[in-house]
Parts: sequence; structure tokens; C-alpha cells
Amino acid sequence: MKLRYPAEAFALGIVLFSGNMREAFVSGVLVILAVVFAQVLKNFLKDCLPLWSLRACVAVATAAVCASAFALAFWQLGIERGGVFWFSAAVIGLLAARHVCMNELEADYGSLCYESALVWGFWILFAIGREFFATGGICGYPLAELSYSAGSLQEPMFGFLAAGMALAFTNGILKKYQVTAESFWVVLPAILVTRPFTPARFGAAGGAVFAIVAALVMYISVRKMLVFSRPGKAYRKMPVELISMGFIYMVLSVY
Amino acid sequence: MKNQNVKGIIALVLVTALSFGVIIGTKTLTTGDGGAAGGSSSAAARELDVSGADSIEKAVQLEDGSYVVSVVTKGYHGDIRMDVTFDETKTQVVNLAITDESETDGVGSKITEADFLSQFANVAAPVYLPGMSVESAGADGSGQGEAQTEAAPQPVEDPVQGAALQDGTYEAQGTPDENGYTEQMTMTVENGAITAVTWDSVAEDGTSKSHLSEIGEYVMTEDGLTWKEQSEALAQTLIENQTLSAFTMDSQGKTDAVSGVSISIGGFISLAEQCMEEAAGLTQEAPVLQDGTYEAQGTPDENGYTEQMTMTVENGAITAVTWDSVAEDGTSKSHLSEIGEYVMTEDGPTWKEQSEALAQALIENQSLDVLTMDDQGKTDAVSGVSISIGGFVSLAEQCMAQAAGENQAPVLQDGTYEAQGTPDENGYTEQMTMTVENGAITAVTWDSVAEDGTSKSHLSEIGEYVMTEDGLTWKEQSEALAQALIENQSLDVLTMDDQGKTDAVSGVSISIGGFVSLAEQCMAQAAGEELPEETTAAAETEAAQTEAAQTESGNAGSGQAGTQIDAISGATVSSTAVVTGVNAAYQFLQTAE
Repeated sequence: MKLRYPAEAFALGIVLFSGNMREAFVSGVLVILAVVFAQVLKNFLKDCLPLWSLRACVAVATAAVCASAFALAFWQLGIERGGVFWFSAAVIGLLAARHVCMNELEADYGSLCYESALVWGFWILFAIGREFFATGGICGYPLAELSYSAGSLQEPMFGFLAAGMALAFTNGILKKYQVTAESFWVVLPAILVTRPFTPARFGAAGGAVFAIVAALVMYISVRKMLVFSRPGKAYRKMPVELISMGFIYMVLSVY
Repeated sequence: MKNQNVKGIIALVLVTALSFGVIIGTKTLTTGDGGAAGGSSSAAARELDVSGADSIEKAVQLEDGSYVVSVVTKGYHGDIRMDVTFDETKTQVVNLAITDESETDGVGSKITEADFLSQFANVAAPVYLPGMSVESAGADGSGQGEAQTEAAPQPVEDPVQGAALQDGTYEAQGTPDENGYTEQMTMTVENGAITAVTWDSVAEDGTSKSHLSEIGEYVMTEDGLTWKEQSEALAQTLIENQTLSAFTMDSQGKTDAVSGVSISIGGFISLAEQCMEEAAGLTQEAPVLQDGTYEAQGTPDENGYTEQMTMTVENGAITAVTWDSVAEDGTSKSHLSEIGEYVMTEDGPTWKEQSEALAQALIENQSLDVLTMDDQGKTDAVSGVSISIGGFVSLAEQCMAQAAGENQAPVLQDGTYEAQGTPDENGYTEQMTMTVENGAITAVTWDSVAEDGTSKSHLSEIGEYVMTEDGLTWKEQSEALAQALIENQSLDVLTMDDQGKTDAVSGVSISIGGFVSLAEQCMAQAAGEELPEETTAAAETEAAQTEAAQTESGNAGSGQAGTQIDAISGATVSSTAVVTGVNAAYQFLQTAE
């Protein structure tokens, strides 16, 4: 059965913006906004433009709208992010556009919103868990003083784990298994934005390249060589690859 | 098709409305400092101009009138970035948040913990650490804090102040640094003027930095002067000016007074001072030691070992030194180390061998100057010695002082002497009674009595004045101090830190400032002396303030404006950097428009 919700866009959003509940709330609804916008635009233009132009137009417009929406929302919430934030939001928009362009959603906005809401819900739940166990509070409200709290729970490595499990849980509920979703389009921008380590030996640029290449090589080797012990249907392909990436980040972050 | 477009538009409108709702709802329901993203939830009403303020990255005034200043200071490993929030009066620190740091994990990184940061919540600026003055904490108008104060070179003081120099050749030598280099200087004075100065740094194998720099094996910078050229430039400056006040030096020993000189000049200045003082006849003569055998003894440590020293002086020179540490049962560390029951390291010299090495170093040098010691009492001046030498140095100083006829204990007249302090803010007045028999202190009673006659010793006995659950009672601690004074017949053993605490007497955790002060008064009475009133009053005041500081936090004992902050143990540099940053932000706001 076809996936209605943009799994790759949600996955990247969860990786980058599930460290706390505020970001999860806002980012999730903006991903839904981006995919709905992409679908609406595609429906409006598909009879007017050739396919290549349609896809380009939808991609650019969705990326721009998504990046702008994220920037406005985060500004309104007073969350300051660096320059790569724009890039991250734009890529999410591109992934939403890709999902719309590559899959014929038949303007089934109801199913789209329903499935998106499911994964958004898991996104929020994981964000609540990560924030609580990292800071002892939720949304800035301290709830408990935990002796075992760890700030690293808000690191991207756990974002990968959350993304994999959120998609798996969603697929399990929907009883849909990702056929077209490609984890590489999630992992690559995530690695570019959140490198697991930065070796000082090679300088800033050299260190960044080294870290990106090392992470990519390990990801590709996991995809190609690692035989998983028969994960459940819901975990196959992208969810388990994202979970594996999380563990790869854990290993690499030692450095 | 048209239906699809209509459905799409409706869906888009609904999702957009939902997005707005979620964003507004999230903003309303969450606090400003939630989540990893952090950041202020209040919109900045006005941004202040920070150009010209080096350590200030950003300063905004929020809608509620408060100010948030983003500061960067130099920490131990790297820069520390913090956001300091002040109230609308710009004088009270409301909040401090560390936004970026790279300090040592578990040490300096504790500056991000609530225990440390909570000290900055709603306190008056400027802030300072214990022992730090407000000025040195960077709140004196420089706007740059301690870093700038440290960076500004100060003129070097001329040690001879224009005194006439005797003709001759004078030499001075420093102590070996961690790389084994020893700085040496030779100064020639002719007709009362310095005519030649040679400054070099020589390794243990005889190689000198000047030679190494000439042959390119000791390079300062690719384009700058060699070490030898810089040394000669410094020497030439001294010859031309005939005074050290021509030099400036900052806290890192750097100078900007001599063109091309980038090396530290602290050693040069120090050796030049020695040579000039010697030439001007201002050098302190080493005290003449009287022949004889002198003994000194320390106080028992927590393991029951007492350090003892015996020093023999013959013909004015130290000829023999014996240093040992003896337990209550008579066993000594030297004996135990010989029989292998007190092992320092598997391969290194035994305790006895190290003790003998220290003694030999003292005999060879006839001075303790060579025994440089770090904060932990360790020295690298004597090969193979890894034990703490603090006790050795202390006892040697006592023996040498006895031999030089200094610090002779005053003769105490028999009798009973009393002294009383001033009431503290709780109404307790410290009192002491001291009995001297046959020239020695035989009894000491120290108590603290309230206005209604109740005493701390009595209250502690009946459990109404408890120091700690498991420790000694106040009365027991008082008696322990008294016993220590009786055993040693001197207050020298009762070393005291800034807060009046001592670790010289086991089990004593109370402030001993009052005890020491009153004991000094009693002993002065017994010796027929009168302590200066200022000393007495100052000691009593200090004791009262120290006692008050035990029950109050903040500025009780300091008297400075602002708020005292407790530094993180073992992270003085990081703590100082944070304090400096806060004060830089405070100072910026005072001068900002």
C-alpha cells in the first residue's frame, strides 16, 4: 500500500528537530504544511507545465515556503539557530516535494493528514521523552530532578533513533511498509548538518570532509553488508537504517 | 479537477491555520528557556551598540526593560560565552546562562551547572570571588575585566631607586625551570654606571639558549629577532637607561618597551634586580647562624605521624640535618622505608633516601631558596625526591631561625592571664584564661559566653549547640585547641586560612581566629608586652566577622560592594572567567547609552 505521508521529510525533521517538545510541535505541523502546499501546487500546475518543469517548480517553491515557514516559526518562538538551519528546512521542503512528485497522492488530503498526524504524534512523544530525560523538564518547565539525566539525549544520534522508531511505529499502525522511501536522502543532509565528530588534525574544512566521508562510508557499509536479524516488517528498510545510523553516530561521537 | 483544486485550497488553508495555532499555542505555553535550542522568548525591544566593547558580542534591552548582554571571556581551554540578564536598573544580575564553553569536563564545565549559576540569580553587581577585589574582578571601569588589567604592561620598579652602584662585576642566577634551563646574568659596573649586561639561559648540559638561537635550533619566530638578539636588546636598554623603570611588564612577563622583544622578561628583570641591589649594597645579608644543635617538631598528621628535625651548625654553617617522621608508637618512616614497610614507589628512592637527599641539598646550599615548592609541596629541585617537602622546609626554617637567634620565644611570667573579645552579632563574647607556671603555659580555657551567661561549651555538652552530627562538640574542639597550644607552647602550629579554619588540629572545624587572638593577648600579657590596640581590635573584628560568615553567606566579611560568588573547587580560572564576564557586561551597561 502506498505511503501518503512524506516519510523522508518527517524522518529528517525528527532527526534535526526532536530534541525538545517545542521544536517537535512546530516542526511537525510545518512539514505537514509543506507537503500539503506541494500537493496543492502540483495539482494546480500539472496541466500547465511539462513534467520536468512541474517537478522543478514544486521543488523550489516547496523548499522556499518550508524554509521561510520554519524561519518565521522559530523566530516567533525565539529559538536561535545557525546558518545551516535554512539549509535543513529547505531540504525538508525538497523531500516533501519529492514525495509529492514521485508518488501519485490523488489529492487524498484526508489520508495524507491522517498519516502525517500519526507520525507527528510519535515525533512529539519521542521529543517529550528526550527532553524530559535530558533536562528533567518539558517545554522549559522543570518536572523532576533526575540523577541519571544526560544532555546527550538531545544530540542527533538519538534523533536518528527516534526517527527510525517513529516511522516503524507509524508503519506498524498503518500496516504500510516503505517501498519508495530512501534513507540516503535523509542521512546525507543530516550528516552535512550535524557531523558526529570534528577531527582537529586536518583543519576545519578537512576535518568536516573527513567526518562526513567516515559517516557516509559506515552508513553505506551497514546498508550493504550488515545482515539484520529479521526485523519486523515495520522496521525494514528505512526505519532500521535510520536506527543503525543512530548507533553509527554514537560510535563516531566517541572521537 | 476543479474539485481537487478546491479540496487542495481548503486543505492548505486549514493546515496553515493549524500551523499558526500550533506556533502561537507553543509560544504561549512554553517558557523562554525550554529545550535544547534555548534562546530568549522575549522579543528584543532595542539593541545596544557594542562596537568598541571587545568582550561584548551583543546587548539588547527587552520589552520588559531588562537587559541581556552576551559576553565572551577567555576560559581555561577556550572562550566562554554567556548571556547575562540584568534588571531595568542595570545593577542587579537577574540570570546568567552559559551558552558555550569548552572547559575541562567535570571541573571547569561545572560553570554550566545550576549550583554555580544559581549564585548569580537576582544578585547585585559587580560580583567577585573570595579573596578577589572588585577592581581585580574587572568592575573598575576598564570594561574588559581581569584580562585587560592583566594585559596592560606596568612599569617595572627600580629596586635601587637611584642609589650609587659600586664598581665591580655582579652575578645572579635563577632556579631551573621545567625544561632544565637556568637563567644567569652578569652585570659589570664601572664608575658607578652599568656598562655591560649579559643574560643567558643555560641547560643542565651547558648548552645555552643564546647559542642555540644563533645556530637556528631555538627559534622564536621566523621573522623576528633571535633569542640572543632579544637578550642583547634588553641588556642594551638597561645600559642606556641605567634603570629598570625603563621596562614595562605585564602579568605574563611580556614587555612592549623594547622593540622586537617578544620573550618573557621576568627572569631578566629579577636577575637584574639582584645584581643592582648587590651593587648598591642593598642585598640582605644571610643571617649568621650560631653553632649548636637545634630541634624542631611539627604537629601530628591524620595518621599520627609527627615530623621532627635536628640541625647541627658548626662554624656558622649547617653541617648536619636529620629529618624524620615518627608515629605515636615510636616507629619512624625512615626505619619503615628501610625495611620495606613504607614504600613510596617500586623503583624510586626510599623515604629515608629522599629525606637524606633533601638534607644534603640544604647542607650544600646552606639555604632553603633552592628548594622551590609547588602548591602541593612537591619539588623538582632535588633529583629523585617525590615526597612533599612542606614539613621539611617548615622545620628547617624553624631550626635556622633558632640558630640565627630570631623568633626567640618570649619568656612568660608565671601567673593567670585573661583576655576577652568583643560581642559578635549573636551576642556571644569569647573569653580565655591562660595559666603559666615555670615559664610554660600549663592551662588554657577558651569559651564563648552569651549575654545571659550561657556558654557555647555548656550548650554543646547538652546538645543544644551542635557543630556536626559526627564530629567533636564545640567544647571538645576548644579543648583540643587548648591542648595543642599547651603542647607546642606556641601559636605557630595553628595555621589558619582566610576563613579562620585550621587543619593543624585534628577534629577542629570551628574558626580559630578568636582563639588565636585571645591567646596572643594572654601570651603578650605573660611576656610583659602590650599588643598594639589596632592588632587586637583587627583580630577580634576578623574573628567576629569570620564567625558571622559561618552563618551568613554573601558579603559578611568582605565589605565590598557587589556580591561574593563561590568559585568552583579546582576551577579557579573558569570561575574567574565567568565572574570577569559578568562584570564586563555590568560595566558595559553602566557606560552604554
